[in-house]
Amino acid sequence: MVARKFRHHLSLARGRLTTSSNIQNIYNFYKYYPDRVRLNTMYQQLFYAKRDLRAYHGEHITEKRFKNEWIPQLNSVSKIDSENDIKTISGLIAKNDVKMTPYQMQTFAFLEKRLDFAVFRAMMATSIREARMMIIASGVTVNDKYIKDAGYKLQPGDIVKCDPERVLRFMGTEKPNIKESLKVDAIQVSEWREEVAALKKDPSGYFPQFKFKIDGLYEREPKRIFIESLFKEGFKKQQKQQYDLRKQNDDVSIVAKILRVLETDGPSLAKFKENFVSSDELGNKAQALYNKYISNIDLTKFGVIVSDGTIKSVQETTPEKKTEKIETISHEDIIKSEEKAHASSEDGIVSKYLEFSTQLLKDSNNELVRKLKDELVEFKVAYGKEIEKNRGVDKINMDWVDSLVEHEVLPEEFKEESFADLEEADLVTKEKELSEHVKLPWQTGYLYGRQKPEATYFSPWKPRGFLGVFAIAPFHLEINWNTCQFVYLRDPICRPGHSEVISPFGLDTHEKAYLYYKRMLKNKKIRNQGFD
Amino acid sequence: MLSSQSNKISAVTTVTTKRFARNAAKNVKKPRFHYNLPEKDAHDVVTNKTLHISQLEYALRQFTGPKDYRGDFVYNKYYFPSVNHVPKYLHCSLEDGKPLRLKQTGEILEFPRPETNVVKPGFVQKAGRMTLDSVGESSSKFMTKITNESEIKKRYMTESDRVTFVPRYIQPFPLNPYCKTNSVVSNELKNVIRTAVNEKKLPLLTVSSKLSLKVNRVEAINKLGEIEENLRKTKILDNDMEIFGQTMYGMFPLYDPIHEVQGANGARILMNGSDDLEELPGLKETETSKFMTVTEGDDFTNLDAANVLFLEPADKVIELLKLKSQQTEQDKLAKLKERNIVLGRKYKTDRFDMQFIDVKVGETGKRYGTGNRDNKKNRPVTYDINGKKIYK
Repeated sequence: MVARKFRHHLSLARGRLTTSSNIQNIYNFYKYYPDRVRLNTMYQQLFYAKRDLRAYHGEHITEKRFKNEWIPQLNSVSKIDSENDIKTISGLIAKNDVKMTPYQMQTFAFLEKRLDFAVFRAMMATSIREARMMIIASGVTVNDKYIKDAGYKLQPGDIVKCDPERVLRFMGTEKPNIKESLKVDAIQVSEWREEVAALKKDPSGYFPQFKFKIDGLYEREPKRIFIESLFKEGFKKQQKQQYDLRKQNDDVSIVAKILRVLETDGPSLAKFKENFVSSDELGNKAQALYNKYISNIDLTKFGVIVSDGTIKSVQETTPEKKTEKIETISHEDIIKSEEKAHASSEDGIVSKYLEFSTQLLKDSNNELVRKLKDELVEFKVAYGKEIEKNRGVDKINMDWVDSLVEHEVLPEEFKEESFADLEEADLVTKEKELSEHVKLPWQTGYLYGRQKPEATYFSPWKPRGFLGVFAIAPFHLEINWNTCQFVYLRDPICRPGHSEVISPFGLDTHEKAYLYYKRMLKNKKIRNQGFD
Repeated sequence: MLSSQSNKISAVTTVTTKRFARNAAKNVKKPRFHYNLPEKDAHDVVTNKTLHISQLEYALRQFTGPKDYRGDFVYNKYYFPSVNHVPKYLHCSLEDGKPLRLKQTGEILEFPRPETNVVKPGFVQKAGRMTLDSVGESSSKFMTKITNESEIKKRYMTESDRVTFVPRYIQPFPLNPYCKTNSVVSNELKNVIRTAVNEKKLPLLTVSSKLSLKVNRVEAINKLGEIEENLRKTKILDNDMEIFGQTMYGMFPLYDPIHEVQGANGARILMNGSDDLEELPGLKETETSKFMTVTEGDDFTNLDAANVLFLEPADKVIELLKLKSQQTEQDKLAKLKERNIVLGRKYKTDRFDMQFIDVKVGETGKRYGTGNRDNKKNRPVTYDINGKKIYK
């Protein structure tokens, strides 16, 4: 069946919502608001609702054909909630959680059985017309049989396989001409030459600026992936440190840190500084906290002994002689020895002081403790700021800069003046020669977007713009994007508070459209049966 | 008299045409948020020509922002798909029609004069302009200037619809709260399913009930995984397809009750990808109302209602459905084979194995010309216990 002509659907003035990845259509979605229909006649309201919905649901099907295929059947599923049942029987009001079932959202559900709709919903094409094109050009199989009918009705359990090349073409950015990619490469290479020169001249000085530039790129951009792989490890370590510091910014761990300093080194300013990101401000504040509050609290209650600044005599514990026989070592001994080892380790010491500080802060009857808590609020803010300030990117290991090689200057053929007069066909023979000059580390030996010159899609593959805006995973399909295949599980249905038919319009417009088609039915028998 | 009449008629016609034109201008779908109009003698910097552009096209360029040398709208936050399993759906009402951001810092940008190709720092003052959108709270929070994305993102992540309680970030269209995305089954969970079904030989029903996925979904995952494995062995999948698969996977929230998953899978959408195993298909009999008399002292429970409608109680139906879903395709094929036996009398003749025999019309087959409603769409239909359609 021939499709309807595609007219006016992308008009910004009309603002219809269709299935298309065109920018104009996306902007129509962005600025959409429903018409004010309150003062219209009943028929006008029904017609407008139908008109809007038909632009999205099967706009390529003619109205006559659509009406002939339409059925007033609204499939639904009810949920069995035993608690609710019991409550209703005993006369109590049912829970508020029981939501309304949007039956009329099933008005266009019969279209979802069609093959072209299923291919579009599985995100193998960006519009239903594209899906139709793919099917007609024998790019889709159902249960390993080529099907060329876009209106083929799928049945539960059918496996649909799409042609990956076409899928990549539809879902990716458009493959550039040779002229376009030459232009891009000329800019790309000159930019890279500047960056490498600046990095070699002053690695740590230029790095923050360079990093900022890279962060602006798309996460899966080949350049970004390449450069991030160079300084990945050093950066990860730093990020982890940062994360740990941020985690420790609470009352208990701050007090625990102070207590630890007190017991090991006494209340010295230098040591406070060392423990709090080596900043003067925080060191002074920590000492002030000690002088005001902690020094007046009886710390011996919690088992903390404040050393008086003198060097602590290290207790020389005599090493236990291993005279015990193996037979005498019991299970308890092993546990004890493990506990000891844990206590002497770094984690053990930290957890010990954390316990002390929790006990200290629990004592809310003490006025000093309450005041200490109030002061800590201010301290935490300052500490947080210092942590954020401390993440200097200059600390990263910059040895990888030496591995970068300066790119050669591109020949004059890459300049726009030289290829502007040539035709595209002439450049095709030259493409291999030209692509040898491009030696970017993430793109060697091919022009921008033309890794596979014969392929119809952009390679290495790059997503089409605004792809994520209409990315909706359907409930009635199980999809595998790695192989461009999916299984049609069942027909979409509605349940309380949810409809599986994807539509941008609300329930009231659906209700009106349903009424419109219902009254259009010539057969009275069907008109009177079903949902009213 | 005549002349006055003709005057009247002409006046009416002019009025109607004018009214038509006025309405046409009114019906233009202009954006509800603020946007700049092109100036009279605007001059494009890039093409070095005067602008001949409509008002809405000018607004569209303010939406997209300037192009990169690669041809990308780098400042538009919707341009590239997300990689962290949090969907990026249009939320115009939250940001008052200003989608341009500096990616590194999340600073809000504006593109007020597209012909100059210059981007400026901007702000969102109030997002309560589009009140038709049922999502969100009142705009009182937004009375102050906002210059960063973080505040908008917070609202996008925390708010949910008032009617259906669907979180904003899985609701693709703000005007339809009944529509939401499914979560994709994570790769780790798919591997778990594959090993459970193929190596441990667990029955499908136990796998489905443990992971709360329907049996046909588990079966489909297993089958698609099997095909993928075969394709990988023969090295048909190439690098481009892998990138495609990864980007598509990164756009959707994940469903995984066993492992820890990435992205914003909070408690609110933890169950989003799961199937409800105790769902009952809606029956035709229950859609219309039925009246009957019940004596005053008697109870009328749901079991009685089932009896009236000649239906089985829900628990039994669900059990039956589960048993049926457990059937593999091999079982179904075996059953079909059993049915395939043809019973008939064999006529023996001297010369031929086959022979035509006269029969009475009406006893076998259909008489030519009688009404046949097989292919009519309004054939009377009923449903059996399992909710399956049967023709009368």
